[in-house]
Amino acid sequence: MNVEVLSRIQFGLTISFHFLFPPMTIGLGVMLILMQTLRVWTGDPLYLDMARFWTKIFGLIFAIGVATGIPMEFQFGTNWAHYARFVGNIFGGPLALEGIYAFFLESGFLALLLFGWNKLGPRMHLFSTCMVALGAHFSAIWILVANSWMQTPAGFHLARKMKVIASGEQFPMNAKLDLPFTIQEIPMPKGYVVQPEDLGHVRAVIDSFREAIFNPSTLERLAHTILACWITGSFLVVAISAWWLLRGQNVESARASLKIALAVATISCLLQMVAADSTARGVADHQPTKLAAIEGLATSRKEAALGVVGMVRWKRDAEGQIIGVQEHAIRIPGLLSILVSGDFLHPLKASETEVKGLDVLPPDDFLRKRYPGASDAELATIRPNYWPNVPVVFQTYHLMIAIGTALVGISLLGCLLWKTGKLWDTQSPLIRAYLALLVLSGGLPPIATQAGWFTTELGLQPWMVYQVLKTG
Amino acid sequence: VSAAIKAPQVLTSIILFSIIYIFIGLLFLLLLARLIRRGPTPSEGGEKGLVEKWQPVSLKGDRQTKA
Repeated sequence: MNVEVLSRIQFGLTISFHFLFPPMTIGLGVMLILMQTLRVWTGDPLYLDMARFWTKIFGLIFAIGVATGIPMEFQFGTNWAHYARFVGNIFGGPLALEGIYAFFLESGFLALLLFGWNKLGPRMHLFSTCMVALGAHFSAIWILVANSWMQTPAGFHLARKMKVIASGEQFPMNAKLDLPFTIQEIPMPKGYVVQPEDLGHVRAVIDSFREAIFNPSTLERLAHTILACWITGSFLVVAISAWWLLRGQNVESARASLKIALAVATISCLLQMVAADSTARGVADHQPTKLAAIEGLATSRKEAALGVVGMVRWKRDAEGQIIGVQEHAIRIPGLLSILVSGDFLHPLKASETEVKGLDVLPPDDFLRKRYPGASDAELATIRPNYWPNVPVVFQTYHLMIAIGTALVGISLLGCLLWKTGKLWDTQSPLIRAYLALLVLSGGLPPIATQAGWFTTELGLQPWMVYQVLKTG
Repeated sequence: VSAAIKAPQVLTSIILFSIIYIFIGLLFLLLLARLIRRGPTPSEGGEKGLVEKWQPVSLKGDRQTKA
């Protein structure tokens, strides 16, 4: 394996491990706000005990999250220096804001949250909890802004460093000149794809901070990810509370924690259905190749079916070159077309929406700009080079969807049992089985968030910055 | 990718990262399990001993009515 592949594995390993923890802290932060609010509102010592306990869990996860996040910052310098230089003008703002607003806010108030139990009044302690939770959310916001810019870059232009002599004539940076020259950044034509030889000389320069921040995918991806964090945090509380109930331990705290967590989990899961739909439609609009890949859609079609479970394999020619994909999946007829159109009130008409397949993605005009003069047959051969790893993203995407659907069902069932009062009958074998399911469900959201993250990043391939900078 | 690094260096760092992450992961699970086993510890005297003298928000209306 070459140094590039190894570096990608290294970054994938560190970010995957790190990404297990921040969703828990963000979600737990919301749970702590609710517990502290109930403490201030009712004065019931039960909520004080609960808040103290869950703050300890929060502190533990926060510490591990910070420790695992630090190596990534160094990797930008050690392994990805060219990339850091290329995006520095864009990422500098959001990442500085993350440092200023998020870390300062979070770290400052975290000390008050962890050590202020006997030093602060309940209201000030509640305020500290809110600030810590807000800081955790801010961290996610600025990282997601930077990541969303990679998915749907906006508000920038590419500029190349050139040597310019007095007459205005421009020379490449590696040209040896006897005449005096200045180094200037020359704007490059729109739609230019950075080539390997450009690295170190070409960079993205910000034109509009607002457009870069609010690029086409920021808001919908932000809603999707934050809700995933709330689901992760709430199911962690659900799982631990269910464990206590099964063992008959800390019953009072377990009941109160389970009620709060189930309410947050159910609301978040239901909102996530809306946010996920919006995110997928954004992918259909801005990254159609990714949508075709995650659904394993070989050809464009109307009444496109939505895959539930299955397998997608590469189709290769006699020489082993990839020429397409083979789908073997259980599908719901027409549902993908309906979801892409977003017209749920007229499903029959919506099912007529055409969803583009990998046979026409990326489109011919995009490829012709990069391969002028190429014939249709040549473009068909080139096209698969611009596809992500379809068999893998199909599975990661559907794993995320399967877990998300299961969590909606589990949380709704929990609310039903809570409302009917049956949830507290811990002698009933059925309730015990459900509580055991809740314990196991605590591990599902981290798997779903990892699967979702893999879908996002692997689905972006072969691009590092969509249609601007390739990975290799 | 940066020109200054070599494949064996990255491979070594991947192995070391893996070892450290296994250790951190196990430590996390161990500490989490210990905290869960202990559970919430009842605070002696509830909110007494806190710096601020306060009354729960839900009871404030009662105080005003009585006054």
